Amino acid sequence: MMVFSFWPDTIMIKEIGDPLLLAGYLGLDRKELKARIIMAQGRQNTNYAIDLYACHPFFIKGYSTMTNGENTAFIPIRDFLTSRGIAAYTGYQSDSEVFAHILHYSLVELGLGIDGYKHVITPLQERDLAVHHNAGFLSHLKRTCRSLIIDGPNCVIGTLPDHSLFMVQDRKKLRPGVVGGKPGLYGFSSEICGLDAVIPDRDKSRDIQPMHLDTAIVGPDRQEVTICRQTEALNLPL
Amino acid sequence: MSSNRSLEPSALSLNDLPWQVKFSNDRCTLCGQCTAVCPVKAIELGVFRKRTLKPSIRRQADQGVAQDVFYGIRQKTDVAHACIGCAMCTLVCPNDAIHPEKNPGLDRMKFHINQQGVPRRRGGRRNAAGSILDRIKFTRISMLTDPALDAGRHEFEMRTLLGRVLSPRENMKRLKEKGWIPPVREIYPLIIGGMSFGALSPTMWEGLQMGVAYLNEEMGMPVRMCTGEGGCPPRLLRSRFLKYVILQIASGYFGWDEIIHAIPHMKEDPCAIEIKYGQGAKPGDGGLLMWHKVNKLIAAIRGVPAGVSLPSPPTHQTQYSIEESVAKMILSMSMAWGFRVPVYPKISASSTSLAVLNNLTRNDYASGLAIDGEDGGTGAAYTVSMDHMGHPIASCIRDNYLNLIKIGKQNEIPIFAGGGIGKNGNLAANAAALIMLGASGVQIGKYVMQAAAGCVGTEEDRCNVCNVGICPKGITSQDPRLYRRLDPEDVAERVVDLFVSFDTELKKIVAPLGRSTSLPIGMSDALGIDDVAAAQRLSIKYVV
Repeated sequence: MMVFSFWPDTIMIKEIGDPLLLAGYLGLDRKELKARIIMAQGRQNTNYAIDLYACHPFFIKGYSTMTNGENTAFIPIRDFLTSRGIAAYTGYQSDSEVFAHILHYSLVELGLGIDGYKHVITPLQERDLAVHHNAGFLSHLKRTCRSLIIDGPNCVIGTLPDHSLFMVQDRKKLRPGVVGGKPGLYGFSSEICGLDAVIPDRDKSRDIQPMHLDTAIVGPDRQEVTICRQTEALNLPL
Repeated sequence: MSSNRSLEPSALSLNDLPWQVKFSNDRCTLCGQCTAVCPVKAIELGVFRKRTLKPSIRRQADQGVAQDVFYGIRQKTDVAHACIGCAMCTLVCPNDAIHPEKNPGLDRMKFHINQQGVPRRRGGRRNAAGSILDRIKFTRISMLTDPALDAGRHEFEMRTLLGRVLSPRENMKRLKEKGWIPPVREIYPLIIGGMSFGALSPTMWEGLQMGVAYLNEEMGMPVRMCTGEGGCPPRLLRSRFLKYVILQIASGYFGWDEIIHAIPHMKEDPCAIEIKYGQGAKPGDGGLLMWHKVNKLIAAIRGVPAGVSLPSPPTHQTQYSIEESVAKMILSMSMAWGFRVPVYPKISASSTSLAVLNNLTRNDYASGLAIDGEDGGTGAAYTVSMDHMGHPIASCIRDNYLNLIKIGKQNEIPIFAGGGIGKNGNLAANAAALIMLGASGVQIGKYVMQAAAGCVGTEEDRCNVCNVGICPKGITSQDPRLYRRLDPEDVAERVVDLFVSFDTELKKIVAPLGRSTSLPIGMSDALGIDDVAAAQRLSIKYVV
């Protein structure tokens, strides 16, 4: 079992086994344990060598992601990140770890908002870009961050240091993903049955399955799901 | 010759020639088309005398000797007229009566192609069939971990960038400060490499230009073509089609007087400027257009007298150091177009390529680096340069790309690979392999001539007479009787066929690897090869 705590208010536990059995063993249902955000993935990595550290989620300085998918552009992205001269960009036992680091790079190093993250990992194609409100800026972003473009089927769920949560899909929306809940409690899940297990009493008609252009965001106040479409104008860091 | 006469050292028999013309007297109609079409006059009408003995056991009168005469084809055996294996005779023969065959034994003629002390010069290629690129396999196929993409149905973005891309942070800073951001072109990753107007016939050049224009304007494929060193026809310089053209400047500066004077009249900027410092087929040697091909038109475009050989010096005469003069040349060319046009050098692959690249990384005006490997083609060069000088492209590209990773500039200076891509017909596989080794795109020359115009050259020293203007297909000739054989419209149509089929094949390679959103530059984890040493050298997987 591996237990990490790289951040003042974050604990990360990685172990192989039946998730319920492990949770029971660790007593995760104890009342004194409190968390604003729980990220859980019950799956061993399938790509590249099997390694405990390759289990999701991944965390870097308050930014965390976990992914359902395979990132086929992993090697060029890893090469790009490791050559940025940023000591924290390391590890990479999993092809999914780069999602967390790209998030950090986009928001911290480039000063983008969460609406810009999707433009980094899955930029718009030429015809959509040409009619975008921020066409000029986005063309520059697409070119300069070309090495960070992901590929393959991916649904990324992540958190930000302000405790926002988000979900984005790959360019072709090849993976399932759903966001739903009620004010005060929201769930992000690969499958609807996961959401049903955690928040059965939500209004299911308001569940959202983000599509290929969407970033679904739940802010720190946990009041609603906002959808940011990639074709909409951006909050620019300029 | 007679058996009692002395022999000249260079007296050759048919058995010594690299190509032997096989001829069937039974089928020949004596139409003479083969002798008329032969570019080197290797065959001529032969009048053969045949004596036949007619023994008989009967009357004396029935016995005798008959003297018959028959007509056929005689192959010449002198070096100047040795068959080049182009098989134009076969192409024109109405009765399939004639064809050249490669001599399976040692071609002794090789020892004699230096009459009057002039070593062999030719056009073409290295004539080595082996290719490491053909041996690279794509082994990382996504199936269950990742639903395979559909090459025919899904959306693909097979584009590359030509130009200096700044680091994301630096680019962001300059956007904020409204600083100068280097020009970048988004282009198709398969580029028609530099083949000059002069090396190619007018019909071939026109056909290529038309094909490229069609691909851009009708097919939505941003294909670019480099002029090579020979200037550019004045009407093209002043047309909107210039944006599809990469203008090349090399050490002879041929045609640049015309280009510079046309700048104020240009409706569009050219795609880019390529400064040629070296060529893979003959590294360390300059360009060469032999006098046979310098007619009035070529001379006018290049700004030289007609009928003289045009050798470009091995190096630019103004060049004395890479830090100073190469940087200055890149800067001057950038300045000529108001810093709106990418400018990049092309060098031959060499163990010194890394030094060039390292230098360019420190020069913001350098937009990329084109590296041409030993398997590159040429219109004219000494055989010794073509066969023995140069560096394979695969390891050179890999070394350069890995070096860029080391300094974190892999997205900033695109490397373009050239030389022998598709030499055995596997264009898309070779191109994809080089892209995954780190190239941002590839340049092709010979392949275009073969596929779009029917060049008969192969890796078996076939034809290779591009240098003397007698190209039997009219591709590299300046003789109207020859280049009229080539219809520019047909060439354009084949150029389009080539690119569209390449695009499908490229997708058929990248889709199973799970790639579609961006060109898989440097995706080396997809590659494997059945050779330990090669795998180690290229930092890819060894697979058996």
